[in-house]
Amino acid sequence: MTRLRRYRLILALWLVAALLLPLVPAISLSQTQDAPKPGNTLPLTLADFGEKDGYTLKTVKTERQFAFTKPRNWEILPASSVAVTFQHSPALLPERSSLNVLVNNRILRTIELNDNNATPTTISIPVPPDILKDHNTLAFQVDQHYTYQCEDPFSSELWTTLLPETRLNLVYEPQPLRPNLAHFPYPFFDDLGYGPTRVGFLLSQKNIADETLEAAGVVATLMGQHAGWRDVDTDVADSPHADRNLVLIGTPKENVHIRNLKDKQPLSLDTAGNFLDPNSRKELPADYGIIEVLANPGHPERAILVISGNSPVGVRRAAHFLAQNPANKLMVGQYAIIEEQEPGPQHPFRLWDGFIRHAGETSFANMSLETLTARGITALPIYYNVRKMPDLSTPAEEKVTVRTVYSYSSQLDPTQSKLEVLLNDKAMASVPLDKRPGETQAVLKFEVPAEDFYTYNDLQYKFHLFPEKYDLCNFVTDVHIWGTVHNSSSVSVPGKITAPLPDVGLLNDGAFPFALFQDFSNLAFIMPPEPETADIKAMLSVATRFGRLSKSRTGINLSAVRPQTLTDAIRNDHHLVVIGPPKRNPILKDFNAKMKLLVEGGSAALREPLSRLAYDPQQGIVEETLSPWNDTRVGLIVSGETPEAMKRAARLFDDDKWYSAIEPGNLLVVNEDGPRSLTFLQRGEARFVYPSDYAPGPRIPDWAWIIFGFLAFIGTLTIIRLIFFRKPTAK
Amino acid sequence: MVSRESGGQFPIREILRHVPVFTAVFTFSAGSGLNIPICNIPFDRRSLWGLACLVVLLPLLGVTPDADALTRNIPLRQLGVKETLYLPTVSSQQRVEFTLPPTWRISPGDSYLETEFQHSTELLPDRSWLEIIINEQSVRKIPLTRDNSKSTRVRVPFSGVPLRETNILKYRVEQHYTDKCEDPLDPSLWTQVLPSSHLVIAYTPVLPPVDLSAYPYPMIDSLAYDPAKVRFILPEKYTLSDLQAMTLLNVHLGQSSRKREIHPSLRFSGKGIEDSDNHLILVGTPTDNPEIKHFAGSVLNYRLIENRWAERDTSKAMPERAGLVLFFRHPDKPSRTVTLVTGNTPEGVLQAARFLTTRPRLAELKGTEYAVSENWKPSGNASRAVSRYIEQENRSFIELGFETRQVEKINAPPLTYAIPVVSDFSIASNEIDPPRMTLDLTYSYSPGLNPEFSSLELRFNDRAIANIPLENENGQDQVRTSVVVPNELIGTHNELVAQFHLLPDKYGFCVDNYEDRSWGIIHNDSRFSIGGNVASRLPDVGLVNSTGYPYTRTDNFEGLHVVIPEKATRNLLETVLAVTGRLGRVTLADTDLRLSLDHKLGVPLGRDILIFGTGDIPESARRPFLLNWPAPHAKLFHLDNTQAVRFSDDNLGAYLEQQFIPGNSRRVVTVITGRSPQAFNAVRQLFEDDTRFEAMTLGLIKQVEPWQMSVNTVNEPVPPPAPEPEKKGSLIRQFMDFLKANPLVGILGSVGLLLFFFIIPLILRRGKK
Repeated sequence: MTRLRRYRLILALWLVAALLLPLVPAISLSQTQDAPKPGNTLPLTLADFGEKDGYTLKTVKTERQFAFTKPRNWEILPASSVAVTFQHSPALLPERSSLNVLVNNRILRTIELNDNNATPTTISIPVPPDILKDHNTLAFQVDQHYTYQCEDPFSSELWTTLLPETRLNLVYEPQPLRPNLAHFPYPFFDDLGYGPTRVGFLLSQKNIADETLEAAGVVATLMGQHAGWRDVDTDVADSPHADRNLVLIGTPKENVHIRNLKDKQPLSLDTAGNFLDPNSRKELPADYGIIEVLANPGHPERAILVISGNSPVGVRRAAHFLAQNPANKLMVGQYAIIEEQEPGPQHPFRLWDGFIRHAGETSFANMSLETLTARGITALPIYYNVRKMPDLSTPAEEKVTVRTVYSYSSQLDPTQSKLEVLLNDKAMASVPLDKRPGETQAVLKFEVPAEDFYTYNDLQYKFHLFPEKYDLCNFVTDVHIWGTVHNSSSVSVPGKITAPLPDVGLLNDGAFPFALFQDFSNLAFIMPPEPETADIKAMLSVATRFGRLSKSRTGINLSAVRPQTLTDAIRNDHHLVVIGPPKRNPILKDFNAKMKLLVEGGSAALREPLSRLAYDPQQGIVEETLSPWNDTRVGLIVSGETPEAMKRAARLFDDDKWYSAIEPGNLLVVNEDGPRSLTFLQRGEARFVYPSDYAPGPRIPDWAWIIFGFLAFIGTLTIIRLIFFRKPTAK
Repeated sequence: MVSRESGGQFPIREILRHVPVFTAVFTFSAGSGLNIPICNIPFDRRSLWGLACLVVLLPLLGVTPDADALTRNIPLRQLGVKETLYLPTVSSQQRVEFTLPPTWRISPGDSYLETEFQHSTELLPDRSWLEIIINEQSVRKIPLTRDNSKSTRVRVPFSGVPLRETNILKYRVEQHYTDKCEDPLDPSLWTQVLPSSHLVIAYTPVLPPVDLSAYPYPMIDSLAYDPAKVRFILPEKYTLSDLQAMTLLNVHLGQSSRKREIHPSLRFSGKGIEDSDNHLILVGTPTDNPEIKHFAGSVLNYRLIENRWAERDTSKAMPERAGLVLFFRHPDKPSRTVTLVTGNTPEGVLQAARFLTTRPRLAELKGTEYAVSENWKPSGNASRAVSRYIEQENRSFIELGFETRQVEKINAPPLTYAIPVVSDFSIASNEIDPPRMTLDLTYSYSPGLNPEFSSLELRFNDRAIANIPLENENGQDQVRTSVVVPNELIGTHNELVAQFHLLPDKYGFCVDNYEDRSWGIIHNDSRFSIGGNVASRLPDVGLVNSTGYPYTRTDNFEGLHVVIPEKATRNLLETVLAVTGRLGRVTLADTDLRLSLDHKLGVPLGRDILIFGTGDIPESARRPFLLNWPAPHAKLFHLDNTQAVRFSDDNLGAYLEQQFIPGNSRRVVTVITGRSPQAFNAVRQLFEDDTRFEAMTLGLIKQVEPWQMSVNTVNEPVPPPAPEPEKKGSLIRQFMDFLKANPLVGILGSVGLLLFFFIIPLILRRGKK
């Protein structure tokens, strides 16, 4: 190669390189952005959206929406997708029938419903991450036609089924944690999160103080109240390396794990294991509570909550402050030192939000139900969950009255349009919508037999709306027709406040009677003198479940004691939850007289009638009795002979399926496969529970009424006789 | 995001732009006697290397022919399109408004609109199209074919498009799925314009005119896209008058800014903070605020003599209580302005601020400087402006800021109205004389509507509340109707939607040639009438959201008293600016601004109070508050004498609390407290950021934290009273219960008694007779 050619080549290469060089950053950047990041995938199936058998979209046009969330610390990646698996009626006209898949009103794909996809077909559609928000909607819309002429919009030929395999795949990357008490209960509980809230409690195994146990119960109940209907997986962790958010409870001296975190905590500890004031560097007073939140050094994406103090009194103070509404919302930062903490006002007795609490009329608004509107010829039903407190008893012969306030649009077809009401899937009433100008706040009243009205009821309003002069062959529009149910509607329940106890079945009805005060101010756990891990786990499970079934507006004021520290006030006035095997919890001896199942030496004997059960020491026992010290209080015994039995008893409260399977009775035997309810209650043993401050008033025996009535009648007639039938006096 | 074209990624277009530079270098090389080997022309080796280096370095150094050219990418999201623009039915249209600030000289050739759209696959390509219209000029008509049914991008250059300061971009569709018997509302008729669509505006900045007649423009430009950045420069030893002057100026800026965010900041005179991106407002006397001297050279008619303003010609000092207002271009940064609000005494400074912020603007205020006479006084007129929310009085649509609005055709878009209501309309608030809200609506509609399907639907907070049939075939003009708004639907931030369902008379599936000339109008004399006994929601700090209530009961703030500590930090004063700026943005005074400001709580009667502090609030002012600050790091919270907690932390949080002024259940006092710069910054950002501020909910106390993740509400001061135990009933009730349970006893008893006392004696008496 000549020198000239070499120079030419070099020049050419330089020129090319010079022209391309500025593009290099852009190319490499775009590669970085487009390359799929490795991430976790959360598949959400139709079962997760409540449609485990799939969902069929019927009629000429309809839509089904599913809500989903984006958890706070997720970055959604571009690999996220909707994999829709569907099939449809073979009668559909391909050129006139389509399925739209939307996320947040953006149509991601329109799928023509043709012969090729009439049988089960799966199509994967990417979801752009930038369209996702905290709360999102995945929607499937169909437009279906089987003919160009005189089409029946409700024809059975019009259907597309979303099969259960349909799923939304959220591919995400968790973001770093920034622990801050202002965000509590996040990250322990994320209202946008999926799956159970997983919390591990790390407590001392030995010499654990009553106050520390109480603090654990308070925090577990608080976690439950935050979680509500969501599942909570509460466990006793054995090390700070557990892959879950952790709650460390106890004094540094009591709980070695708090001491071990010495260098990671925002507040310093001295060599003796006492917390120091961050400003003066002096030891904090013993009764001060400490709340800290920090990232777990072993799992930076997990958080640790420290509930502590330099004495057990401080630990209890910290826990109660954490749960004390609304003062706990004032915390900001990584720590708070609780110097004083006076308990707030007691959550009022029987104040269950969203429930019918008293005989008489209760409006939907008072049950936190909203005014709702349904639209169009294919209007979806309006659902309300109507809840009545379990101790509001209605005699079987009485009727519950539902007063519905509704409105509907003008220009409805009066012959076909109607409002249908169903209670617990039974049709109860129907009213024609036949006023041409429509009606505003019209009233529909109907009665329901008391036996058909339960603690939890599904009330469904179906608006059957047809436009004026509706005609298959001349159907024009339905955009202008609607029906509204107002939350000024009401339910009238006759009856009295009374509940037969003991009955473990009522645990399913909002943890009755333990949650009568939603702050649990008359609930006490009685733990064994030397609680083991299984006992603490059982207590945490019960506390969490009770929390999930309640909502305190003030704080959580439950107590935890042991037989030797049980005070008269607690014994005589509280509902009691007794935890532990009979061998290790001596308080159970006091319950012997009330218990129906006595477990001795590996066998179980029923007190009355005398019989023996095929008893397995691995079986968990949950029994409810009247309190030995107060017939208006109950005791819940969560027991078992072995750690495995205690574990099963605890699982009863952890597992939604097991818990919802509890039936009326006064005894539960928890087997490997779930609970079985047994009823041994005898006639006359049922008691009615009233609060200590609730005076039922003088009760007059029935026989006395005959005498009273007799005397009243005589008196009345005597007066009548004196006035009208008086003999004329002889003059 | 504004970017210089030479920065960032380097597209091909940019490289091509440099071709002339390369050519020039080659030409220069050739002309200087070098031998170029290209095209068999010999060249020198050193020149080759030099040339190559130049080729590489020139673009990297950012040498461009037009270094001042800027581009601005404006996504539709920024223009208020939240999700997508949905275009359904046979014919529909959506409009988006965009502005071009007068400080931009547009390069139409480099500016364009990029539209991303998708549409139904069922559309007939020969009869379906998407039309893009800018300022009523059609700039592109796109057939909706199968090929572009999935997400498709179309770029429309602005060459030849008549652009103005305020422009209307319209997307219009005509869509059909069949040639015969078509349902015009069929769900298969749709097109979506996606929010990723955007405008790219290439422009060269132009220096705006700076004149007092247009003040505060260009500081506040209602056509701009960025928040207005203004920095106040205050004397380090400021007086109360300086503070008051600054607050008045700031509220006035807020009132001028309205929908645009305003980010005021502050520094003390002599404290060196970079002012690069800010307009400057210097407040104070030349003695107190030495930085004013730096700009004294820009003053035409006055000069400084021994730190006092004097007439340039006569050297006569300005009177003590006279003020001086100067507004001019920054000598070093021409795109920024400097405002001097000054005088020889603090009173003169305040006089200048009052003059500059009074409305209506005085005609003689023009040029770059104005001396405010010591004899000038505000008019003293009462404000005629009414608050733009519903409290207890009736409000017409005009008063609420709504114009008469018209919609047209079969797919008439909904007319949406934001209705702020600051009072409590729940029936529970007063069961004896419950509050009532009635919408007295005035509407018109066109002739030729189909009476069976046409209606005016009203929705309140997404719930249908009325459907008014439009049945007169000749149309109707200014019909009045009243609709009761259900109490349960009335919240604080409400949305009223008036949806005209306009279906042409000669209309049906198989009527191909119907004419759609339908329209409907909602008139601005429609009004909300209030009846019954309306309860107040006060105290509630969340009510300031959107409305500024209760501090904005009058637009000139004659009901506001601000309390600022004597030794306030820069962060605290910036918080004052953020809060008062926000209050300004929801008002528009028609007189001078009359808020009062003091270091003490001595409150003029009839004012609501706003206290800024670090917790060191005088004992007399602490009384109504639930949250107090007893020690440097401690907070004491008490409720109803039953709940008290005292805790300490690292003081990163700030708190807003509102209570009634003791003894006055109509006036409130709000305290904004923090004890760290981070805490005050958190409050500042909350009040400056529209998205966060508008998300603020109701509550007595708000906790604001620096991470901007949440604003916690401390909202449940007292749990509701314990429900009355069910009365067991009177003795009569118990007797009735007994009879109900034992009807036989009741019947037998009654018959027996009747016989014994009534019939038998009667028989016996007759027997005796």
